[in-house]
Amino acid sequence: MNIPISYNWLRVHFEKDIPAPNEIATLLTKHLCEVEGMEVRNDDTIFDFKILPDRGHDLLSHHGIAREVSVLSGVPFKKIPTEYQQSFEKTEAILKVSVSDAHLCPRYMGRVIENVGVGESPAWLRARLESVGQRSINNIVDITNFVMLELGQPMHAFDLRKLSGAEIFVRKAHEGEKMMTLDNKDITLTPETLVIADSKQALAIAGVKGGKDAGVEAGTTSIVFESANFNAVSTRKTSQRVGIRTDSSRRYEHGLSPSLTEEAIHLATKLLLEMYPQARVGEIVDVYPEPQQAQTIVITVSDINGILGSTLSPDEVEGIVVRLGFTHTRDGETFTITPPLVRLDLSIKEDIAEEIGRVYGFYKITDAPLPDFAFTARPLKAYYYANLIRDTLVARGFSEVYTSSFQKEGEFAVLNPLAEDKAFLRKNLAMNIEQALELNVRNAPLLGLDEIRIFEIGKAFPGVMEEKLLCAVGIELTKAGKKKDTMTREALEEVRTVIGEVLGVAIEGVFTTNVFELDLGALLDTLPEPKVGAPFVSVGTRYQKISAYPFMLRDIALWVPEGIPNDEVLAIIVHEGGDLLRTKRLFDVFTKEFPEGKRTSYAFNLVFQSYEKTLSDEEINNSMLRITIALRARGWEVR
Amino acid sequence: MTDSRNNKGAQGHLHPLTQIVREIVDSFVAMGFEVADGPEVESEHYNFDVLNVPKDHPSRDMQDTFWLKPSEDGSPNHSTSGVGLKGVSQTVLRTHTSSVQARYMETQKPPFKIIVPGKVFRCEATDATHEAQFHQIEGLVVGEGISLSHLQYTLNEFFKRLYGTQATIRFRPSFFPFVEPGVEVDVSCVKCSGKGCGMCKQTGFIEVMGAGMVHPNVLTASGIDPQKYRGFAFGMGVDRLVMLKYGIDDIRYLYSGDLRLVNQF
Ligand SMILES: [Zn+2]
Repeated sequence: MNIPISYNWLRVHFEKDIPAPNEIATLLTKHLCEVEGMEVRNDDTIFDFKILPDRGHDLLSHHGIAREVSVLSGVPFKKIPTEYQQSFEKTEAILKVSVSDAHLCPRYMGRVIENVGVGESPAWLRARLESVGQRSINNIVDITNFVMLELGQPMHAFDLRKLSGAEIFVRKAHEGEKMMTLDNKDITLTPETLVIADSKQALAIAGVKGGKDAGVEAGTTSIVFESANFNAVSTRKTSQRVGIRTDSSRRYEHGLSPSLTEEAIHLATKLLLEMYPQARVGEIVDVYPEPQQAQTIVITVSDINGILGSTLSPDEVEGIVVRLGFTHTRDGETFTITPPLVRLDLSIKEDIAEEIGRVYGFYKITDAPLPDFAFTARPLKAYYYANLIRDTLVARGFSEVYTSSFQKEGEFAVLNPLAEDKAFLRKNLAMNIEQALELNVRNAPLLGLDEIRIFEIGKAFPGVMEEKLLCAVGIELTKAGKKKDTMTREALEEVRTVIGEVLGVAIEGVFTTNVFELDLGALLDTLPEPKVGAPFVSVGTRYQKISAYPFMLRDIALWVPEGIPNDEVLAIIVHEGGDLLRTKRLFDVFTKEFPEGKRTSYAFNLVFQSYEKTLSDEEINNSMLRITIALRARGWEVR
Repeated sequence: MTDSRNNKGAQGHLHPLTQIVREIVDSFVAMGFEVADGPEVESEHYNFDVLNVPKDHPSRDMQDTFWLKPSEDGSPNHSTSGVGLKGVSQTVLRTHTSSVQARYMETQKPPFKIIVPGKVFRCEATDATHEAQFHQIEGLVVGEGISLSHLQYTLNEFFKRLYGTQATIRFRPSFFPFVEPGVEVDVSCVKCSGKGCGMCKQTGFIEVMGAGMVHPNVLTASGIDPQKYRGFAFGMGVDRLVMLKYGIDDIRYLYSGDLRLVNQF
């Protein structure tokens, strides 16, 4: 997931200067994640970091990124202070919370705050939110958003006045229960959905979206702050079901540490007290039946060097562990490490080795040749024989195509197809080859071909749970006339013979008018183990873009004195034809006696096509005229 | 421009995907790797479970993975009613060639080095740069004392064979459930040799594959003792390499059976 991070906001976490924005980008690219963007806005720089999925639980926050900047740059980190006075006038309402399913809601923290108001946020808060593209709503909503962007812990605020009693129920929705969201979407809930409710109705979809009925608005004077932990999978599924994805649900989807809620509710309280020093702050209610246990991982320096191929000393490892802020003890080269609770991604040795390697720098790893294995590679029949057939067919003038594995009809259906005409897996290759023949026949003049000869080797699915390796060969003789079908069949029979000769076995297969298809997978069982696995030759070339516009055909024939090679004629045609001339092809040559001496006749097919537009007759006539004039200038007779 | 005379008896053309697959596979075979393969229709077990992909991971969703349907006639082995039934919700079109890892490891004892080319599928709307089907090549080496250094050496060797002796690679942090540590592999830009150009967005490097040390859970699930053996794995998309190498602007041409593309090769 990508997150916008403000450079100026990061700086709040440090007393000393941190590296300049471009240096931060370089540092994080090497050691943490991709930096997909960097934009200077006013006096700030906004980064677009692509946070890796296993760090979504601690890095979708300015606090988390600032911690990393500190680890990687060595500049000491300073937490944003969350301390505030601790004695308050008693609140009128006493909050009660009951959670029906601790698996879906491992921790729920709430607190009542009275004698506050709703208004505009102070300038600093608006500026912070706006710097990362968030709109200011009102001071209370802004505080919850700020806390989420700072700590990665989503929060919510309810208007206490609108609740029926100061009791919050975290429960599953009733069948058909309805809720109107803050942005006026009417949602009908299902019993899988976890909601936050008062004694009467659902007030919010847990972790996803607040409801209108208990939203904070002008006139609100007392609130309930919610800082809770919700199950990642259930939040993602709920968000999909109701079709609402929010900054909050995206964070819960990554799975957050329940330890985060505490810091979040304190920061929110502190910020609200700065705005309303006379506020009455209630006790925190904390429903947390199974507190998260810290992980302890034992790893040796040899383990680390063994995995990374590095030569780190125990002191170097310890230096990195200390920079990471991991609690640890050391006994010789053995480390016992306790990562902070928010680091849900660290539970085994390999995780710690990665963490050490990342901070040290994967780019510093040096090459080591593979050990001399007692391993002898055996050739793979399917790979060897498929490529042998490919080379055989290519040598006989066939071109290899790849076609789609999806078809509009077949035997083995896809449960979630992309389109109706891709609802099945292809049951054979023959159907695809027929379609490819049709396509290529249309382009035959452009390709400069009278015969389309193609083949494909690939998997087809003739039945449910059936998968076969097939080879299909297709021929279309565009100029064959009446005997076409017979000639095609003969050509296909010849293909069968040739493949049989190369493989040394008789080939069975299925013929249609234009296609011969054989079951290569079944054939493999009858073939001997190949002696070598590779290599097969591959040839490099340059690729020319395919034009989306139609091509146009013209022929040109001329007499030249005997002895003038056709290349000399072609050179003039190519020169005058320019970029629009795509294909040229000599289709007829003969020499004849004339009174003035022997002359040769050449006839060429010319194909014109543009990358930008459909060519008009006039444009092609102009090209042909230029070619004709140039040829005549040589004293040749264009017929 | 096509310059064809009489095409009878002329050479045909190998598809560019085949050509690049051969180039890549040959490089690894020359380094002692064995070619391996596996089915395109794959069980959830081999495609996800044994690769340490959590049960509820979003990559298993219908938005990302093609799931396959039982027969319409309700034949006994397959139910007709769709999702949630055994043998039905468990079958996918493989989303990566990594699915061959466990298949190979279950039957072979370490040490080994394999290279696995193959077609893979993602349920993804198609456009010029996205296809629902594409090709990957997976590599897997398991043995005693294997480290990231060996991975780096192997990939450096490979890219020097593919792009010439000046080619270098670099590792960046990354994450894939089946490796730990996981890295992204960049290769120095083939066009500007690392100086920075439009193709590499001025970075001098192009992201070409994901790689890492095989996660101990993957080894254990395949019956290999992670205390004794370690391994590395890497996977790369072939189509993108083909497109980069030849400047092909639309991935869909690769699977359209169109000789306007193939006959240029
Ligand atoms: Zn470049």
